[in-house]
Amino acid sequence: MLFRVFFLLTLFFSTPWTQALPLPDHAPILTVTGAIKITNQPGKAVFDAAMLARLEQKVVVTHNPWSTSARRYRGVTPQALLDAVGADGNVLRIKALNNYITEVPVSDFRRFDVVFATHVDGEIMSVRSKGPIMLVYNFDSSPTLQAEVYYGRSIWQITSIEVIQREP
Amino acid sequence: MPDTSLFVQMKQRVHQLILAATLTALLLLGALVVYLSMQANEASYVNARSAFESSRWNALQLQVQTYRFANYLQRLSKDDLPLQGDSLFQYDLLMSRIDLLRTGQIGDLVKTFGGGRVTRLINIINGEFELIGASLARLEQGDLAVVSNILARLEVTDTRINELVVLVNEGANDHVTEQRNQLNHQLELLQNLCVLLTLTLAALLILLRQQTKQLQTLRSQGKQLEAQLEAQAKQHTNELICLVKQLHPSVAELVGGLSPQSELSAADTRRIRFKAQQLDRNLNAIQALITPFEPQHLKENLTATVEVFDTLFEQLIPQLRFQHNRLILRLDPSLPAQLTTDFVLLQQTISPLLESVMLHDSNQCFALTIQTSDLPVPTNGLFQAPIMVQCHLQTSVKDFFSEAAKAMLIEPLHNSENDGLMTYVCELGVSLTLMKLRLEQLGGGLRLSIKPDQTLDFLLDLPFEKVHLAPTLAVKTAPLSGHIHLVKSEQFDGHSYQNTILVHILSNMGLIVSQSTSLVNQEDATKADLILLANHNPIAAMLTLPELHKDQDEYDIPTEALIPLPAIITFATLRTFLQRFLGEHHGSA
Repeated sequence: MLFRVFFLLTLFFSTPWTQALPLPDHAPILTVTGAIKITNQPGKAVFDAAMLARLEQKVVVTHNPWSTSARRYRGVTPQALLDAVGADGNVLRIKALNNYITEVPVSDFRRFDVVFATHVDGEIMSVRSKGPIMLVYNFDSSPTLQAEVYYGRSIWQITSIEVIQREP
Repeated sequence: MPDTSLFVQMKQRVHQLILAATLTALLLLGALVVYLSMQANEASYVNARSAFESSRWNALQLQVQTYRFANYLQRLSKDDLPLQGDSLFQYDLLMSRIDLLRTGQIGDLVKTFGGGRVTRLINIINGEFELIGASLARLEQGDLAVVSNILARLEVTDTRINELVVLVNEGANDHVTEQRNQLNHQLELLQNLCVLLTLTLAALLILLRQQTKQLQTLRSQGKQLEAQLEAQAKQHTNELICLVKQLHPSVAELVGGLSPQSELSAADTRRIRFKAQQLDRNLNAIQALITPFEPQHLKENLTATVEVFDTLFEQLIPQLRFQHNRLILRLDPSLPAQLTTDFVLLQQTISPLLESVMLHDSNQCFALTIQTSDLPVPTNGLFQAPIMVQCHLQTSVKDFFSEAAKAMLIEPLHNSENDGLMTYVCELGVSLTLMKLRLEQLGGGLRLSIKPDQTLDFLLDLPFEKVHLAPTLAVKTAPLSGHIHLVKSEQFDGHSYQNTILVHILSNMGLIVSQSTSLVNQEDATKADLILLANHNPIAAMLTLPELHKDQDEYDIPTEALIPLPAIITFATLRTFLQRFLGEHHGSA
């Protein structure tokens, strides 16, 4: 009997929807909504800079059309962010501070080297330097990425993400 | 009238030049097309990116963001205080749009628009916004009075932003148009080049077709010339053969005219007959050399090896005996028992040397070993399955050749390129020269080696046709049994090679062989079935025999067992000889 209770508890706590995000200690910089299972506010997951910093990080060094030389971008891996919110969608609808919106297929994160950058060349990205968050593709890694489609998806001043499950 | 050959040469030269020029043009055009294609591709890429990076979007975004900032300021009230950096955040959003137009690839592109007016406008707008930034500190402190000043400044800036948007739009249009024109120009160039390339290719094809026709004509002319040459050569050969055939009766008549009743001495008669026979053989050799060799003729003359080489000496034996010359012939047991050969051809090829050397002087010793040669088989197509056989003639002859002739034969390959035919004839004589040429024609050769005692060794390498599945001589020949004791006198023996070869032959026949220089205290001799007085010339044998007979009596050796060895030992004669004597005691195997 005792073993059965232990097994059920283990099963219960190991499922993603039971995991809860902590509340942010500082001003939030990113809100994730839509098809997610893990939240810290009603219907949404809110992150401050420290919470994002605790997720798996990666670095992408690449040229892009908005700078004259290669820049070193560091930030959260897309998969780590999606896992953190228990995302269950195939498209991200990403919105910028100036209300610009772009849609990014989740499959891009498997096909290409992508990062939700919070730092550029070791510095925190300010609003004026396309912060607080910028989605950066490693444009140098593949000629396929050097196209308008991917330049358009590389959105900056990200403020919110909506996870969408769209029929193929 | 122009010189025809010169005219043809010039025409060919011009054709070659045109062909080379066409090929060069083709290569250059090809390279140019590739280069332009790459350029067009790059231009297309730049254009695509420029289209995306169009500054129009960023200029309009600046305008929109300015209105948003103005809207934000207009909505501010006392209830919104304290702002807690909110105004600075909105300001940063606005400034980020200005930054996009000033930096990066977009900034570089925008600077080229409107002849510098865009850059000037951006700098002015940026300056105005910087001034607004200074006022924001007061707004953050709760002083709403500065809002009207900021809005007034934004209103002034709005005209300039609008002008900027118009200029950027015009500049972007010009840029895109220029890019498109460049692309069109390159495309046009590419099309022209492709047409040129096609025309050049067509010209090349026409030239190649002409060259091919010329080549075909030349080939057919070459074949005709070849056929003419062959016909002429055949005609000359037939004429020569006819001439040689006409000489034979004259020689025969000369020999036939030498009757015992003539005034010539017997020695002179013999000498003339010998020379006439030699002349006849030379004529035969010349005829053989000029007659085309027909490999299929070999197949009609299947002959046993033993018979072939023994027969070679049949004509020479009387002369050899007369001159008290001694000869031993050994056939290597590893040789095939049968070889396909044309006996007439073989005789014509080898006999001149044997005759010249063996009948050169009296009281000489010769040993001829027929064995497999180390030389590579010929690839002249005369033989289907050739095997190289070597005739190794060891002699006691010394002064047979001049030094020049020796040099020619010691290194034949080295000399053959430098020495003409007449040099060979002068140094070697007609017979040997013809023989050498015949051997080389068949794929073999003639070499000479000089031993330390200055006596000569000849090596004749000659190809034969293999007989399929022919057994070796060792397998085919039945072995003999018995014990042979050889007595050889050192007193008269100057050439031990004959004795060595005799021991080889007897051992190969399966006989036990022992040797000594006398019969004194020779236990082997008492046990032997046959004692052969070996390696003696006939005169020496006559002198030595009585001494040996005394020893025989003393050491109880049967008289009939002591036999002088024949002077001329061929494969068949030795075997018959041995079988006769061994048969009387033990019989053959």
